[in-house]
Amino acid sequence: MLNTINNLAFSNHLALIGLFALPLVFYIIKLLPPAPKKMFFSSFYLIKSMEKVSVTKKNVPIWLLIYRIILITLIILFFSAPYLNIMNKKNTSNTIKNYVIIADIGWSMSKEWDKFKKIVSEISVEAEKKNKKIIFYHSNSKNNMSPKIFTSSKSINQYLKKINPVPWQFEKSNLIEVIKKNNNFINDKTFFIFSKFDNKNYSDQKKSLDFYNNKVKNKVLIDPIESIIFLKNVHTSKENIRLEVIRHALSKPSSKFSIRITSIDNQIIFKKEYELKPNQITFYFNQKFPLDVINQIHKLEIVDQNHAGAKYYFDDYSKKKRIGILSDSFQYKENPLLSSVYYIEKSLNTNNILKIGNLDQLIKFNCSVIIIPDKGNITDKDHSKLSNWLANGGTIIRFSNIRLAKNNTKFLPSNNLFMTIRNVGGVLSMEKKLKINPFTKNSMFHGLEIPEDITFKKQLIFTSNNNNLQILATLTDNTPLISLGKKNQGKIFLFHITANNDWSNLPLSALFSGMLQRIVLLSEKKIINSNANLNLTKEINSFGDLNNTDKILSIRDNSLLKKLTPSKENLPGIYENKELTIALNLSNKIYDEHFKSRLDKNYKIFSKFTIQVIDLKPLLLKIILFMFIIDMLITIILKKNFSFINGLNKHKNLLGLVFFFIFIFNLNNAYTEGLDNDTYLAYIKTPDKKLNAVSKSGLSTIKNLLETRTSVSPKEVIGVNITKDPIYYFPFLYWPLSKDLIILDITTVSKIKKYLTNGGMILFDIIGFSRESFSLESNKFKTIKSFLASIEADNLSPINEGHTLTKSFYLLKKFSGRWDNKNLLIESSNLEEKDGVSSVILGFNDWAGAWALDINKNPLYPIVPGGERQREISYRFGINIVMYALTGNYKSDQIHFKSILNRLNNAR
Amino acid sequence: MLKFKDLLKKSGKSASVLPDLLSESSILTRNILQGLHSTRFSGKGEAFWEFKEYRQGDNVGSIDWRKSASSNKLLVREKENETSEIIYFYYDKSKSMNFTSSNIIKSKYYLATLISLTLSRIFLRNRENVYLFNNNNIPIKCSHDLSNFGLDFLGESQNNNFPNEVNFKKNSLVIILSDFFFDKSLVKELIYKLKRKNISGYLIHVLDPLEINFEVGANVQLCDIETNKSLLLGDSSFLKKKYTENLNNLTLELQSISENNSWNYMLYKTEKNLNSFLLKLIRNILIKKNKIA
Repeated sequence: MLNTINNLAFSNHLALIGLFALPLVFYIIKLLPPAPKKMFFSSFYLIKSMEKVSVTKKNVPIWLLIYRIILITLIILFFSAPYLNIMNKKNTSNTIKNYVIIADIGWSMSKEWDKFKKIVSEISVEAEKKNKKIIFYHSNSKNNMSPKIFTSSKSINQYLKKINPVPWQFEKSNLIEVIKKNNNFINDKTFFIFSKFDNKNYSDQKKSLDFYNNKVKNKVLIDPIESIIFLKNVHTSKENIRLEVIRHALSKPSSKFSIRITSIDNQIIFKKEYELKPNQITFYFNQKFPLDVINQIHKLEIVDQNHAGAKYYFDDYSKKKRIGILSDSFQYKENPLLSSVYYIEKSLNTNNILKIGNLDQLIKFNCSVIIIPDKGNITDKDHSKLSNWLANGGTIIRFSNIRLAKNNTKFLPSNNLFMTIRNVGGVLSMEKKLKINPFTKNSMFHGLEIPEDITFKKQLIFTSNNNNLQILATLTDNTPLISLGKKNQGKIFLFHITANNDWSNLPLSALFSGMLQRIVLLSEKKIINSNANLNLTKEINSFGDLNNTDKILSIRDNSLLKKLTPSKENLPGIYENKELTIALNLSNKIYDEHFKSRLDKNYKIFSKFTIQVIDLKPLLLKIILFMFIIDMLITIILKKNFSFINGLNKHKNLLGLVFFFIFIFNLNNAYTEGLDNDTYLAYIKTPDKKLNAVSKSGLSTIKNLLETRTSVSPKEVIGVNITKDPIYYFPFLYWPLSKDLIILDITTVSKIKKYLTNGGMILFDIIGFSRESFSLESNKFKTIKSFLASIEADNLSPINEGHTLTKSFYLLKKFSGRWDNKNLLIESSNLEEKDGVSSVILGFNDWAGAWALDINKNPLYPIVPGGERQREISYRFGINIVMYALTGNYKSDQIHFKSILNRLNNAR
Repeated sequence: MLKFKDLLKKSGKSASVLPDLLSESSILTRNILQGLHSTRFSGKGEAFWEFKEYRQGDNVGSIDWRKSASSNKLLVREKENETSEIIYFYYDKSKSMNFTSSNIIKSKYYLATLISLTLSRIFLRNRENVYLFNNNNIPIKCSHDLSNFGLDFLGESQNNNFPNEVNFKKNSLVIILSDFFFDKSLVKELIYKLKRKNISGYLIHVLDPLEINFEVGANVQLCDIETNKSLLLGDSSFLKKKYTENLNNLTLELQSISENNSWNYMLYKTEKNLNSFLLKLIRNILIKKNKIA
């Protein structure tokens, strides 16, 4: 105990002077007993007759006095910021000038980022207690040499929220330079926080640590990363994904990890748990996937490893084939439905990069597949080019047509074919309708669904005895539908029908698209070059997540990009141009040769910061708060506040009190809760308080009228602060627009837009302008016009006769307010989306002014030109507009027409 | 000096109560009329009331021959009694009536006025003559729909003087609503004088719950609304005992005054349901009236 008191110290000694004031406080409390509660009573008639009333003055009980003195002492202590020294040594804190934190925060630090922040925060608490400045160097700042300086742990915590570790390995630590520049930090206490995984170069790291160890006197080395798991050598081949999972840790017990693969649309394609055996460092992962699944993969990650080294993003090198469609003319654009190009384009466009053009263009474009839709022969000039390309591993897809049958060309599955065209299922034919044979298990088309309604009119038949020829799909009479021939490394696929719907309706079906996709996936030709620059579009941050970037970075050579290692200059991320998407991942590029070596043999390295001081402030604050609440309860009981005690008795327990506190803490929610259960009338608060009062009073009148005249009974009238309060609970908003408009920020604007598109209604009332002309185009309404344009409510037109608003409750011919102007503008565009109900109504008649009453329930303002009839009309307009907001176009239903006409006739 | 502005403010305040009073009283009237099946009495009036079998002594001229022919009995047309009664309502306008112990409960003044107005409406429907006292303690005859009831009736008086007995007509019914927190002799004297004019009536004692239980708590500074005097109470238990005793004495005395003069005494606590109280009161009045008739 004595020891603890010995170790007690204060940051703010000055506050202790407050203790001298205690006797004064003691005196004041004693002098002032609890004040009596003032209470009115009807008459003293019955008491008056009594002799003498026992008037007693209460004294403060002595125990309460002591209690309060203790409370005040604690408050004074709180301000003096006490703390406890745990490390019981008289350190040389007087000689130390500043606390210096040098942090190398690379990719691995993000795994233990919270731990890192905690370490920095704890160091800063100690520094703050000892009234030292904190000088903070870290590797993610623009200039490594200029540190950030903090005086409190709060401000450094705030700052830490803003920075992240960098997602790469360092070439070189800047520790040595920092130390040199600052004269070896002779008078400072230094902390070097680093991770050995963050450095590419072991010798450099060792050099800088040696330097630090030798030169700096007052030092602490902290390496918070005890273990790490990351991906290495991620490799995708045709159907396989191979990779290594590497673990480095001081102790290597058996541990489990999961690998998860997600698709572009964030669906989990694959997830499996694996185990690392004790002392196992490398785990080899090899998994086979179907071709089209590999194409869908977006991201591979080790689950729960929160750093860039455990996540790998896929790019175009593993998907998106380049396909060329050979077509000289651009006729297909004019008659798309007749052209074969159109159907092929439709089938392949979603997952591939398509190019339509002549052979030169296509070969230049580096296609892996060339589709020849309807060409009969290929010119001699093109002949050699195409056969070269084919020999290098290209894939040709051809379709039949009449010309093909007549010309004996090359580039068919087999040479020297005798081709005829067979007419299938003519009018006189006895044959049953031909269908496609189901695909066998070994077929490349296995799994594709064959629609029932596919018919064939014509078909290309050839005879060949070439063994090289493969038939991939057949019809029910075993005639070929798709055949394949191989030439060197190239492949030629032939569809025995046209690519348009002349011969068959197969090209219209999903099956056609599926078949083409499968064929395209089989093609292997690699993209070698793309000429356009690649721009950084998304950054991979140190936690391995994709972030939008504001940096402009472009790399010319995409083959180079694959070889780059992420660094400050070459940020890891997704690089894109029009044709290509390439990901620069950290996870494949981590230098890990030196990870096995142990630094802690040579240096004294801590894995965490041992706390040396305990801050007593939070503890004191809790005690003070608790004592304060107790004090309040004591006061209440002493005053015998019956209503309070009765309330407690009624609830039999303290539940009520608990709920009260919950209520206080959730006040903000309470505003919105309950609003959804009742109808409210709401108006927008303007800076003008008088105008608000008028709006409120006006709507209250309408509320009362609604209650008495209709079955709608709004609960209350609410003033809405448009920038802060939610508005979705109100079916209808009254918005007076005076000369000083509310300035809206972007979030408010989008809030209003959402409100309007989702069924809300706003009545704009233009108030306080000269009453000469009422065209929004005129100069005086310029600001209002632009204001309305900002919330996309400027597309207004005059209300037409017989609009629902004229009959939603009362039958109205005009819409008078304080003024009797006939102009009423309503929103007229985009009504299809809103069921024909206008959500913006705008007028110039100052309705709230006509509705508003003073305290004596007399109308507040006279009306122009006047007459109680006009005021009544304005009330009716108010009722109609609320009804319109609540029922929409209900009253325009034909079913009401009869009674409305009846009513009109009676009126006549 | 009395400023015109203040006067306007004051009148505005009481005027804002007026519509509430009128509308609430009309709702109450409707409810009560549903509760009462019939409030009229047979007598010599113009309006037909009911058929009754002829008995000796009935006026032969009143036999309805046509109706009698259709049945085997001699039937007499009975007509409504239209000798209308005169009813006075007097409610205390002193300051202490404005008291209410909580926001939920209406003030005694409001409720006393409400009771008067509701009963007035019911009696007016029966074509009785109803008089209300205005701010100058002059009885004003109410029109059939109470349209002449206005601000002149909603003032505040400084003293507790009753209207002069000259203002009351003979054989009438008087209903007095008050908290009776003033000199008992005033009441005693008035009732004695009225009794001599053969006027019967009701003393309706309107009290707030706090005035009955006197639970003011300890360490309280009490303030009198009427005189603005204040009183510091350390411990109220002793005072409470005394107060209850005094209150009991007051009610007992009021009861004995009314019994001695064949008046009626009723206590109304402001937190209780007004509807049932009014029903009870009006039944009481009707039974009394029938007995007299």
